Amino acid sequence: VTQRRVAVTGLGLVTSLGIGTSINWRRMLEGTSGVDRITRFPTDGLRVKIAATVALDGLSADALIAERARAMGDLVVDEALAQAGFARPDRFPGAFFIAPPCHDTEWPEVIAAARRGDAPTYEAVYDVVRRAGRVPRLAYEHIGAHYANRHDLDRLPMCVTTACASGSTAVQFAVEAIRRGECSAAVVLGTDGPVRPEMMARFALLSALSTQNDCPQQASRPFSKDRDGFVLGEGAAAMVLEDPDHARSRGTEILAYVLGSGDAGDNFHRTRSNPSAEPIADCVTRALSDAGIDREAVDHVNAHGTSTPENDKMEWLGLRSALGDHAARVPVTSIKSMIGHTIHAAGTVEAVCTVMTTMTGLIPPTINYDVPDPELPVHLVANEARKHVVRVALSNSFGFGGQNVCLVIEKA
Amino acid sequence: MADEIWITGFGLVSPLGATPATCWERLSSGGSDPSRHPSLGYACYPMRDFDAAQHVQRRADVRQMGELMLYATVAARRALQSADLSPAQPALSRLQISVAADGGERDLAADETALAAVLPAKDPATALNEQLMRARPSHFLTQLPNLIPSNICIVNGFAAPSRTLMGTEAMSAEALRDAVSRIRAGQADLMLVGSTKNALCVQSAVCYTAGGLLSHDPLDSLWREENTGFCLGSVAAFVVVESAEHARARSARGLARITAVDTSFGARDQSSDCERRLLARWQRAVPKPPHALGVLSGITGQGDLARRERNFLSGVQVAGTRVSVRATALAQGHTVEAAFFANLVFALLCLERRQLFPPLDRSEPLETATLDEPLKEVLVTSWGSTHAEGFAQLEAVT
Repeated sequence: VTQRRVAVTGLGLVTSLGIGTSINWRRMLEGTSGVDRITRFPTDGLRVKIAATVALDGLSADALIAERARAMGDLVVDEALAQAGFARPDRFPGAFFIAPPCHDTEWPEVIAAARRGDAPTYEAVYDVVRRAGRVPRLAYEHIGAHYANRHDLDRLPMCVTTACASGSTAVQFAVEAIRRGECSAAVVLGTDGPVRPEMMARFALLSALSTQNDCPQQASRPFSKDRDGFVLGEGAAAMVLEDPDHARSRGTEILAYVLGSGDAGDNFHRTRSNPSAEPIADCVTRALSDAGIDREAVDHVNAHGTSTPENDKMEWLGLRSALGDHAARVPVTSIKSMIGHTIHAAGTVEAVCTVMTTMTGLIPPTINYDVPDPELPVHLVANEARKHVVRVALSNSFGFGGQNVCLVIEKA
Repeated sequence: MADEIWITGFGLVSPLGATPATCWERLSSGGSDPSRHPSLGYACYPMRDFDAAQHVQRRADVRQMGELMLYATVAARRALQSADLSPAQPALSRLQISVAADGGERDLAADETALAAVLPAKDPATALNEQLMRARPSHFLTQLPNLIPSNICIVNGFAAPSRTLMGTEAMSAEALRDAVSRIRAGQADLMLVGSTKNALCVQSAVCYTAGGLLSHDPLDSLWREENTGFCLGSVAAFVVVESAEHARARSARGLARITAVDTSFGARDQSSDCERRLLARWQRAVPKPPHALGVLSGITGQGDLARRERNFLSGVQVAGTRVSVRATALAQGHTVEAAFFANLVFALLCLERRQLFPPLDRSEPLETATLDEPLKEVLVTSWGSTHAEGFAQLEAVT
């Protein structure tokens, strides 16, 4: 409460474009797509056969979502802590806030147990597991406990889900905790490895995924008239957030600031936005008010921009309502055009890229923008990166269940 | 800065009873009796006498929720009503929701249909893909825990920002700690905080068993150090939290003052000194311990946690505080993420009556100890089955 701004002092990023913030940033500025045909598992019988996956050494093709999330998480947390210059990252003097994948049983383990029990029932699965005593890959290995042990934390990290807005909600939690002086430094981690048959099927059944199997790299087309859904992506991002005085006293470089945030609930429908776009506009307006700035101060929007017909339309309507005439002048981009939708990680991934934009004065492109949608006169950074001095940028995240979050990032 | 934080409403959906009065009666007569899961056979405390159609008008809403979410929508509604927050109340527009939850719930019939096709298939991977593509699109939504607050809003007719904290007991105390901190710092005005659990959720039972945490057979005491697992229970419990100032301004009644809430992270190996760390936190949060303290214990049934709770409570008693303890998992099973909130609600029932309900375990000296004075303060403890612990202390608003 005493200090409105919260400093960003470390970044870490893993996406389908590579491991590390700098290689990701270079490839994004080049407009590279990380989307491809899925080779990790057979896709026969699935409607969608493309995704933006991350290949990691040491992870088998059938690694669980939770294992993948943890492996990517370790990489980005270490990168961010190293940049922030903490002498003992194994004894982090602050709190962690994590946006992980949701806890669920996974098919390979359930099928293996049912096979051992020789019956296609949960009764058989339960009996096999009970006789075994322990089956670690079916047990609930809490990702928060992993980081509490890894960094000697004194509390279990807050592990939050607000569906596809989770990565931004984790930032909100950290900003609030630092503002009220509860900790002077925090690590925010968003991580998800959802490219598994069940997720591919679930999102396809909800008609949320692009079916452009024959042109994977052109499939994600945010704000285009011919957009037909998102591409599922994997990735992780970490940010070290810090009380600015604390950062200065450590002599570490402040990369950017989080100026504020806002969230708004939408009870119109479980998976669709209120057609008024009011909740989206509300979260933007609340974020601006929390940041203490006027809407004309916004220089750039890193959009949620999933490439679904519904999302991109509602996001534009929400921005127009919150920013007024200014909305059509603000350069907007969606990096999901290149790395797909990393679900629980997306908010943190995009916050990291928004910080990079304020640091470099470069906005990564929204690729595949060939057919403008006349209904969405958004001022898109189309197909090529753009030089643009960005003092204040918004990063939007929206999720199923009426979750809407907006972050305000400021150039240092 | 708001100094005094109140609970101004509570809502419960419990196998113990449909109303606070029947719930109290059942608690006073030893609690609910365990039964067996109909197909898996593990001992548990499922919901009783809960008819979804009676509480949720639109059948389409019922279809889009599992039991977990149904219980939550009803318990949350009761909490808001109890805090005098009808949808017409302007204060409701300032509400924020925080939910602690495990995952969501799977459609078991659909999963078993898929298994039946996959096990004999020559190409199991393709068979699984084909089966997955046959599911009803909305099945997915019951698997997403953030749909718990979403359904609370949709079914009860209001909109509010929400955050869902995932996993294990500790996220519940963390959710309350966060709510109190945000309200105290002016980052929130009014919060609905709670959780929900379904003892019949097969995927949970499989996961807990895979972690070596579930007891297949019923427990007759939670205080035996040789016990190895817990019995699952069903419950949904929510509380409304706001500053005293905010409550007074809208003429709402304080049911209890939250005088302390904190958490710590401890492992469960033999060398872990988590109870000492928790005690240090409690001593810092409660610098002047009361003469008499009711304790609603979050021990689960795992013997290791009984030992740790004993150590912790002997530290609480060192300064001369008399304690009388009730380990409520014996009355309704261990409800994991929801246990802490259910105990907060039981604490409110006790404070209203200025007494604890009778001991649930008459063989345990901590339970049969008497306080010799009317109950004014209750400590609620939370013990994570695999890690982390927490507490909250409530005081009657006089």
